[in-house]
Amino acid sequence: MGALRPGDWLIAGICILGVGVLVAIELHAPAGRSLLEGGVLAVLLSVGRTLPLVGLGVALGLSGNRNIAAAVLLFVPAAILSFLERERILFALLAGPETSYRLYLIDPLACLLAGLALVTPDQFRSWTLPPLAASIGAIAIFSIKLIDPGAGAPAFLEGAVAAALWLILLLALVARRLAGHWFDISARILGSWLIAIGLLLGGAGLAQRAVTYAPVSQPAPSLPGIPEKPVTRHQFPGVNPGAE
Amino acid sequence: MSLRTVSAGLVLLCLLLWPISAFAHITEGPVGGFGSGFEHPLSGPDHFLAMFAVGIWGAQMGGRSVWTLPVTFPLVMAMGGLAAMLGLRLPGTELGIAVSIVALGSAILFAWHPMEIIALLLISVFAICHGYAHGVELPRAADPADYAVGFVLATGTIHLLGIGVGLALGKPYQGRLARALGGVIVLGGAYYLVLAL
Repeated sequence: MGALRPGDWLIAGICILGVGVLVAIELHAPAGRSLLEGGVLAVLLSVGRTLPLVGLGVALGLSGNRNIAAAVLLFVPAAILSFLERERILFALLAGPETSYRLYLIDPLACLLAGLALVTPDQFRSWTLPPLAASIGAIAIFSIKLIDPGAGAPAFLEGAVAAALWLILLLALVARRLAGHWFDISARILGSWLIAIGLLLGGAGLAQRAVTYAPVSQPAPSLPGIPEKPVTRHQFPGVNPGAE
Repeated sequence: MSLRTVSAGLVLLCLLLWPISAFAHITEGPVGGFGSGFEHPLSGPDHFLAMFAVGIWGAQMGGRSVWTLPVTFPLVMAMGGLAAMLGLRLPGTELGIAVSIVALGSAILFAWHPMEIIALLLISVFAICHGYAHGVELPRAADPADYAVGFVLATGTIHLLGIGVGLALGKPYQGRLARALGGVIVLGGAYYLVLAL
């Protein structure tokens, strides 16, 4: 174990600051949390939104300064564009009948892209990282806006973006500090995990499509809103009928 | 006949004897989130032994194989999971898992060092079976995202454990300890194979 470098104190400071804020928010009663706090938690406590940012942070940390600059230069405008055009993107995604399952594929896609950024060999990473970073940024902002309860108030988005930037910065600094033979191998293994998780989450999203739009075998009720017989658990897939 | 030929023959024999029937470490009924996903590879000794063996075998082969095997396994495992979630039928999955334990244990026991591509192809076939077993459960999970993360992390952790054990046991007594462990894994696999048949 080598001696501590000045940069290590910076990493420790950023880590402690963020974790402290997270603990403070968690200690608040859920009912009393502000939109800003909700935004922070929506990013840091959601696996689907956190993992792509983790992958992106590590990939940035393993890249050269020129790559990082290019990635950030594309990440920021892509995120802003995604924010401004979110409604158009949403309409495009939901165009046509039975398309809501596509919303389940957004976070898995970001996971896949982050995994690709990590498993790409070093010599190709300078080409792949900037466009992948831009895509992840656009997807991240879109995903956050999808769950934003703020209805025009920017606090939720501000909290979420601050949390996302904190996570990316922290992991990029840690990865840069630890970069070396063994850490590069670990990063590739992490990348393969992210791709696997992305594929599985995407598959689960597609499976949801089959469940959501399965034909209903029950006859329609004679009066609107009044079922002819009581609803049973058998109508819901995945619920153990033997429990009744 | 050299040890390598014997081990290669055993692995091929295991693949050829792969019967078409089912036996299960597939949990029935609803499953939860991260905890259920993380628990699934750990709670089933069949999954555990196979993934542990992948790590040991990679460490025993040395070089790039130390990481290419554990990187490839979850990627292909995800394909198996996808196949299950999309409703594709893959008969004999659970028996394939039992065969994978015997084959991987044999590879360690006889210190088989095939070409990397052959090792990767072999573990890919087995990863499909393990992924399929996990994938059957995933859409029923209370939180599919957390479930997927849980079981991928558990799988990776078992691989890392296997790599650590393989590296630690690779040097003493010319690697005989690692090979003995391979023998124990073969016995475990044989038990599951008998149960499955």
